[in-house]
Amino acid sequence: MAMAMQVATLTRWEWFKLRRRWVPWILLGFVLVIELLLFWLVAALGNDVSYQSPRENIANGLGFSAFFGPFIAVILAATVMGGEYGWGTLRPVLSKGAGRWPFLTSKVAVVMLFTIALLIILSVIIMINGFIAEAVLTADPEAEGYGTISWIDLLAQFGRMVYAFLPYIMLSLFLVVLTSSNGVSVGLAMGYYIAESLILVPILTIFDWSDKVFAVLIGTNVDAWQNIEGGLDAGREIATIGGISDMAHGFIIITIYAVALAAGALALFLRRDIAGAKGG
Amino acid sequence: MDDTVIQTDGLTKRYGRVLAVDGLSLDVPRGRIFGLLGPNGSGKTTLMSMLLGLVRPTAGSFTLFGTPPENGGLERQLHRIGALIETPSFYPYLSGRNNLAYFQGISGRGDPAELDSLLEQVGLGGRGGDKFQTYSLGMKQRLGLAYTLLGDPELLVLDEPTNGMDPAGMAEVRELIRSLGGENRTVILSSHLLYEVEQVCDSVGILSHGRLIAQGDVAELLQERGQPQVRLRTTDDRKAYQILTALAWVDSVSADNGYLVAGVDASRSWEITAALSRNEVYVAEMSSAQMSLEQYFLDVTDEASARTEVA
Repeated sequence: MAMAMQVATLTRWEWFKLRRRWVPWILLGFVLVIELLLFWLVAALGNDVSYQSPRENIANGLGFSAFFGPFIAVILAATVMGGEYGWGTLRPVLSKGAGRWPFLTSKVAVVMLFTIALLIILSVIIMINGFIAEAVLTADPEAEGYGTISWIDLLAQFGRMVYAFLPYIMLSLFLVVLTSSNGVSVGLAMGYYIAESLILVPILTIFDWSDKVFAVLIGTNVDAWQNIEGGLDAGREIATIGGISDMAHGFIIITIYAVALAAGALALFLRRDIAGAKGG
Repeated sequence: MDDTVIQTDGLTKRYGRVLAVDGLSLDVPRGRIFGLLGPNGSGKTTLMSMLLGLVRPTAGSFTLFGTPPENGGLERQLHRIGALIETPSFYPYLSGRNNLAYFQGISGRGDPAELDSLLEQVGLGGRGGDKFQTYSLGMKQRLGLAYTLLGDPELLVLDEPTNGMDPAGMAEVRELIRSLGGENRTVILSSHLLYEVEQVCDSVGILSHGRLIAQGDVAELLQERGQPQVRLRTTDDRKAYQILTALAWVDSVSADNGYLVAGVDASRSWEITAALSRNEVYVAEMSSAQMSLEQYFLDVTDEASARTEVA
């Protein structure tokens, strides 16, 4: 109980610091601009959004976020932890009795909280734009698919998406602790994300033996968990653990990644000596 | 209540082939201002970092406030300590006040009203709202001092606290440290400025090559090692030199920076005056001279270095 209170206190004060930094606001602005641009392009050019209800608009917005989300999570996780190494602030933090594992846990918590806040803000803004699109582009409630997504569906999609960011947050955090560098960890984590989706997956698609590799990649399992096209069933039928559904398989794999990377980060953080400012 | 705030027993830290701290056993009594001295690389910062849980000892043990730090106890003990290691490192995008608010918040000690009084106390009253990144090195040091004082800790660990300050600021900080020590609060001051340590500290520990080579009260250490001396200036220093050299009870006579230094206890000053005046040499200035901490430090560290080279 005391430990939980300590983590809650540290998380509160991490939030205090995070909202005073530029990086989260820049990320929020960037994602907002991109999403609104995509939304209106689809709405105006594709004449698509106008036939959907506000719930479908939010679902679409979250669909865009599924693509940007990992980038945001990686940059944010690296920023909140990497800064501590760069400025040498781990010394005064730990000297005040923050405790190593509560401090690291609070970092994960604050990144998750910010990600949730970011998705809520995006959803509200997309929904408002959905109303505008309906009014401007003349919605047709009789159109196929109108209003088929329930609020429960949306909530489930939202929850799955937040959970899907976890392995990327942990990957970034692990790399920051490993390299003690913000920049290097962002590079490595983003590099992995891009390499997996743009290089590894297309190459593996060529070979028949690669099914087992596909079954354990982060990206494919994140997509499978979120029921996004391009997951485990993209162009092939990959055997899941014990024949369970793709979504359940995705959940297990990304949980294993998240736990393993968190354990790795914690083990390193607990063991290592804390040095002064590294400046980068 | 335990009278020893810090006790180390064979504390050792090895970085690869480098032995930073070598079997160090040290006692810091409660309520004292304890100076930690040593040349660069002697292990001062490593020692302090081990005590704060920032660096893991390779061997040995220590207690803080009479309790070993195992089993999560260190975090509780750290709430009773205010420590600043090397250069003050804070969040550059936060103001000085917000930096203090953050550290007060995570430690769970003190109330918000404390922040403004601490900023005033360290001379940052008018600049608390400015971002840390706009501070000069001296101002950063002042904020570092305010940080260490958060929650009114029982033990202060200060590593070069006057580094980068102007002379007036250094004097202010020395006065502040002097006022902080005593009663129930202990201060550990690491500094290269031996004059500063001599002025502020009651006792010292001297490190060389990771080993503790001397420890004790400043006055006692100097008395043990230093030969009693009298410094004087006369109407004819050349003649005075000859007269003093001829006196059997004067151990030595030397010239130092315009003064004559006689190896004799200050209680025999009147005899010197009498001997000189009998020869029509008159004393213009006379004082008792004690070995300085700087001279003591140089002597013991040179000896320690020589022993290390021989070994």
